[in-house]
Amino acid sequence: MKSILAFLCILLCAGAAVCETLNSALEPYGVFFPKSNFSVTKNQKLSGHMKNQHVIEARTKGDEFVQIRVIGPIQPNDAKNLLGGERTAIEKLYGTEQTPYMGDIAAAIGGCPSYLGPVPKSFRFHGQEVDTVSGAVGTDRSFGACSLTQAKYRGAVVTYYNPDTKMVWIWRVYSPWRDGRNALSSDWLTEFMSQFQDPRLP
Amino acid sequence: MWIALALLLAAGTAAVYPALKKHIGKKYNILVVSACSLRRDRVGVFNPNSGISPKIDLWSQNAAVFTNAVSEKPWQNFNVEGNELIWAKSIVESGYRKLKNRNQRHVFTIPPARMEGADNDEWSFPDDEIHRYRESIDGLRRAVTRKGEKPFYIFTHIKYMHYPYLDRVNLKPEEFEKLHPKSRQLLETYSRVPDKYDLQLPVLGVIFNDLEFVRKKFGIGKISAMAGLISNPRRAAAWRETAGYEDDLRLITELYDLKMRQFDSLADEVLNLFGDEELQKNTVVIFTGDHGEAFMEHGVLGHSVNLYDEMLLYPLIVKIPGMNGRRSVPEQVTHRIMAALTRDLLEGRVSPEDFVEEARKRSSEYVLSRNCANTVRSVRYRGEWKFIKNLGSGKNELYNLKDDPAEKTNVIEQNLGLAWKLEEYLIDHQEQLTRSTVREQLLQVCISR
Repeated sequence: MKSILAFLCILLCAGAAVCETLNSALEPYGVFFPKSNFSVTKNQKLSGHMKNQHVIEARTKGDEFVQIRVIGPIQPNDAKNLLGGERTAIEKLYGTEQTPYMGDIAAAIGGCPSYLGPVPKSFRFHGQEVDTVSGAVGTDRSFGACSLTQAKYRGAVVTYYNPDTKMVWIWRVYSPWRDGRNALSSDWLTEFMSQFQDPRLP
Repeated sequence: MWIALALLLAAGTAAVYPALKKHIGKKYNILVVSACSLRRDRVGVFNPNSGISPKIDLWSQNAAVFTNAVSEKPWQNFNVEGNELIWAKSIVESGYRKLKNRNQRHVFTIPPARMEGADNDEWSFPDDEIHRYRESIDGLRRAVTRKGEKPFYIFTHIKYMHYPYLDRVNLKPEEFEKLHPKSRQLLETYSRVPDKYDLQLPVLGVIFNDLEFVRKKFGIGKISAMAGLISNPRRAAAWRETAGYEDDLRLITELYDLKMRQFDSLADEVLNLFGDEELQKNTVVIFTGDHGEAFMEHGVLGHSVNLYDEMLLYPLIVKIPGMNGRRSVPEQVTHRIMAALTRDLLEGRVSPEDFVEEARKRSSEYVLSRNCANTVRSVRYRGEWKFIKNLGSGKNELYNLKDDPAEKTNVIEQNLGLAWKLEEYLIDHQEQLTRSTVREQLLQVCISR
């Protein structure tokens, strides 16, 4: 039932005010950006012992997808470890497979072709430097697609920490794979994320 | 008054810091018998339907059986996790016998370790070296049964159950005949023309571990292991689509179970201290696996890759002299917990009589685990719930282990609050998962960062 409603929302509501928008979902954080083509398919808040998590998912008719996780309050060192771990894990999916044995065949076979990732990048977003890593993603939106036939999306993990609010932001963004081996070499990620830039922030 | 106050302070200190209070009493020998890649469900004590470990089951009749022994890293063993806790110097200083094996680390690896010409705790598996198991068991027997004034602490890691599952020397004709007809046919086919079976490389790897064949096939230089083929999820997925998949899987499990029957006899010798009754009365025996082994329950063979219970759970049975009856211990323990406890037993802070109760006290409601690449992490809560965080897919999983021990039904959407609390625990304790052992740093394997 929920997926039917979400589908209808996407069909009817892209950009319109009648369905929840990313803007309204992110309003509690004071984030604002001009109207986007994304329609929210999930807006979930969970409370833990000391930390809360807010998960927002949204998509477009063009099969672009974002998942935003806002977690906090979290101390700076824990945030650094959390975000570093998220990015490092993605990078490892494209590298030589890790096994417990020295001299394993995995080292000889090697990792994925470099044009499939990982591509680290930093840029300014929401008023601060953010760290990202992007790579080829498969049909189930799993990072680590290791051939052009497996690559269905360009995906990226965008991470940053706001020390004022003590909140960690983890965006997972996906857009359809284009341009073959050059899919990740373009500025696709900064262009993609520009639609979520808050014009009031440097 | 001052004497009374001093006595009160000492008693208070002992209460607050029980670790300081040393046990004065008889020192027992300690033998830790670690079995590599031993699936818990193949040991009858944990799975009455198994029926292939009668000797181990008999041995454990008067022992404590830990039903939730969980591996934090499904490739490490007790000694690797514990070698930062149990030092050779400490063993000797605690009044235990100094052993004269080659590295004096009170470690016997069976078969003896050899990698790139250097002796260490790594190994390679030429399939004609089954005799080395016998030689090393004999070496262990000599070390254990040598009578001396001082007790011994010995850790032995027996690699018998690790792949390859087929040791040609050990597959007797009568055992071969007992295999399913299709299994017999496949064994012969794969032995004769392995080159034709690219999609079945995980199968060939886990059965034969023929490094020379793989080197030639891939046109690469010297390799020492092929976990990258055996446990590769992509290769496993391609194999799963082949017409002969079910027959291959049957062959793999039949060979593993055959090995288990053989291992049952081998372990029986060691666990019963080679029939020496005096040793049996004076030795604490800890029989422990290191991690499980997957047979495609969740899309892979082998271990170290994911965090489902077939990979995480290992058999753990502790026998204390004088123990009557079998006792089940349901609390979650790990290698580090048991290694620390064994160190305290060795150093006299815990008595053998209190060992099992102390293990229960030190058990952990939450066990954190990670895979070799640290791209998958999990929290196992009270043996009842498992939360799995998969950083590659971004999709998390939650399993009710009581209702769904096979972890087939992801119930995260119905239990979002619990899932978040477990993920929060993971975040709060993530440093535990980035800790590397000395072995990992030395060999540069399974680096967490």
